[in-house]
Amino acid sequence: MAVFDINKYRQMFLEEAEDIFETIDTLLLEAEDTGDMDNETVNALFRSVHTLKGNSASVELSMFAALAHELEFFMDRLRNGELQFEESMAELLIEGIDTLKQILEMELSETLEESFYQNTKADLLQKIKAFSEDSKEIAELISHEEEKDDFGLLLPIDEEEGFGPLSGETLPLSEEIPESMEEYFGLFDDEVPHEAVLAFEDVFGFFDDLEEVAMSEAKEDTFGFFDEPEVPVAAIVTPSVESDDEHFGFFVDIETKTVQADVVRNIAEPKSGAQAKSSVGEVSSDEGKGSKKFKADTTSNSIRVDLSKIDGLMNNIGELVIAHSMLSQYIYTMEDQKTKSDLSERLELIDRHIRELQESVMSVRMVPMETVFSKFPKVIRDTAKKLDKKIDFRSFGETVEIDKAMIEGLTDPLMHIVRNGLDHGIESPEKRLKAGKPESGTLIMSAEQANGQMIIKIQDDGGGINLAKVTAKALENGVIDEHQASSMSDEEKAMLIFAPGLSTADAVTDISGRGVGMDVVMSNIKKLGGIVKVDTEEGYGSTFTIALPLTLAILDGLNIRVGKEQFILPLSAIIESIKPEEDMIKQIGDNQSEVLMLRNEFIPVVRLHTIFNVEYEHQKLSDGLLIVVRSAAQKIALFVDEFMNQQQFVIKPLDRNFRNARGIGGATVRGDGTIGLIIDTMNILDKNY
Amino acid sequence: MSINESNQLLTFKLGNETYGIQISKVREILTYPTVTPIPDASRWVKGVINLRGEVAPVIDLRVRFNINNDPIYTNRTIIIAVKTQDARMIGLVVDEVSDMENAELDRLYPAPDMGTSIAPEYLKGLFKKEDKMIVILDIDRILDKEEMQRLSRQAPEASHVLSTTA
Repeated sequence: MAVFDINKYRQMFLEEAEDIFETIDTLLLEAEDTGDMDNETVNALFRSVHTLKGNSASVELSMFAALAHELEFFMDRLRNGELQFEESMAELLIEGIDTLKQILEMELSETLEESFYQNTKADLLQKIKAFSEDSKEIAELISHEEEKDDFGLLLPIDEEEGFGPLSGETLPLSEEIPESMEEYFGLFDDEVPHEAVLAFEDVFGFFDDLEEVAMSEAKEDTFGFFDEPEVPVAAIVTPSVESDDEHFGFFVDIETKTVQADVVRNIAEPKSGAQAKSSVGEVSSDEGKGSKKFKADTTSNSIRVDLSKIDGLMNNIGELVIAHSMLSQYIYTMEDQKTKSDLSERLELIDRHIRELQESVMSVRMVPMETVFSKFPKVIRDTAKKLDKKIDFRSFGETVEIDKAMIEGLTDPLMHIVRNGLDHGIESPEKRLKAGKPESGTLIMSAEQANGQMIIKIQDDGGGINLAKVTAKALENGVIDEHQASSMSDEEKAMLIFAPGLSTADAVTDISGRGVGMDVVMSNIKKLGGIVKVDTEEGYGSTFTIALPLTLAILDGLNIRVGKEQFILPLSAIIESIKPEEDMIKQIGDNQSEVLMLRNEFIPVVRLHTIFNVEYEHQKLSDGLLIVVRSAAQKIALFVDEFMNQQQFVIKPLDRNFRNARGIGGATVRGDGTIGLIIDTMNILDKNY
Repeated sequence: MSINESNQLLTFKLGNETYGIQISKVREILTYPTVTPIPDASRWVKGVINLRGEVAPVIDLRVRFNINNDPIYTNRTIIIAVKTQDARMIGLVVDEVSDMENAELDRLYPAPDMGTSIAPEYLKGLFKKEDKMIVILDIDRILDKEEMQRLSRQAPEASHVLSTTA
């Protein structure tokens, strides 16, 4: 029997728990908002908590499971109408779920102290009690709890046996239970007592039959929490989980699952009968139910895959692209025209397939923005509560897809911006009313794809950024000098909030105000190859605009030539390119700096050959070309000798084997097998790089 | 199975001296391909090449240790691709690859303070075979990530025009 590595399963549980917590938060916030909770919501909540309970017990998180049980029990009473939903219940439940999260974290890190746990639990029970009409129920509740502890202890052992025959390492926990039951088909004679075999054969009958038969059978076996016919499994998928699962969930089929869950129960049932141990029977049947419920939340046809595997696949495709272009270059040099055209034709076909393959793999990496957005309502609610502000949060573009690899890097900066917006941007209700604004502040988060970029906007209708204050602070901290301050545009001044160590908050709160954060936002977004912009109007609010490349793996680039060297310029950075006339170039200062006068803008000219220290072909700007690109805080015009072709490049990091270089954002393998360097326009002027 | 793999050396020449590195570090031996120069790199960093799909720097040990400051690169110049302990792929330019030798790495002579072109801190020791002396390089030390990041940047005054290599 395989060694049962609890940590591996705990990790799986943790990942799933995060998803479930998110679902629960969404439901509860909705309930709190509307002050009502319909049956569907109650059912969904109950199921979620139940799943948490069952799964946590199976990974031996007994205290977490026990606490989850309390909440589940409370929800169960809500569900079967023993309790009527009141608005304050939502608050209690939110608090309860927060406590659960806390306990989970502590139990996982093994820092949970018994006394703390007992106090927390007592506290929670006390609050739950307040909603209960008579103490008998409490007594019942406590007796349930004891049962629960058994459950917590017994289940893992039980499950471990179930896991035994199955050694698939990468399967998510949720699949394990039914999968292992499937295994029993083959391993029957050795693994399961004879009675169970018989029982199984009974069940086999139901199998081909209607699912409902199995269901009614299940009803007969019910214990404590099973006092109501279940909603058909397929109907009870919570929306956020579902959409997430489409990409990173589980591959399981609904029907077999349900049936299998019943099989579990039915196998367990006679077994316990034979052993005359009703408690085991209860646990087992509960487990059966647990696994069925578990499935209920994960009904879509998807699979959870480690991102590094997809990266590996992407790398292979990259190699394929390179091999392909090597081949086409070779064909180009062939003499025999007939063979040449025949080969080219076939090669084009391969090219098309490679592109399709590339797109398919890319689409696997993509997840909807909802994965990012769904984290916010809870944070915003909590923060607003702490600050005594009223916030109306809205989000748009949940279905816009984003590279999974970016989500991690994106969530933190967004969180910072939102917290800052809540803390410094949106005013207190009194202040807002005085200013003639609605009492509740509005925070809008939106995502859209435009021009091959992902545009994320965070918009608030708060007080806006006090530019005078920011500028004064920047002067004080030496970020800028007087001269700069006087020549800065409002937009540039607003960008100062991204400078390190700058906070205009008069008081440092635990939400924001330490002056760290916004500079982290900038650097994180830059790391993702994106840019942040802020538009603000005092008294009317601010809008943060984040533009990101759609993916980190492939880039549309323009080949440019400087002297004998070729570089790749990301298309996303290019604004326009011009062949400058002499009168468009102005010299400033000691004739060392050149600026391009384009319409009403002055754009500093950067000679790439100087930056990259390479030979140049043209000395005079009017002989070459200027490409206007976005740089950190401004536009710059890059001076190059020639444009070459435009194509897609597979980005490879330069610092994996070596280090980063100034002005270079990455590398790629060209068709001839050599390395091409990709220019990073963001930090090209950063001398300290 | 008497020969421990890590005791096998690949020997090569840098100038007139014979050097050795553990064969287990070597991934590939290739002839000098087109190398893409890195703009702000020191002279001993020739640039980057594609090594099995990875972007790997090419380092000329002769320039790095002042054995030959103005080497000529032809399509017969040899690069030894090595993989460091921390799994970085790096190409080393050498004058010629000589042979394979078995050496008992735990019975090396300590490197002398003087007499070798490369400072003793970068050496594992000396190995004597008949009348030959092989200097065994500590490749992980030479290619130490932090040291490379620090030293491989071009000093501003030493800036020169990079030329494309054949």
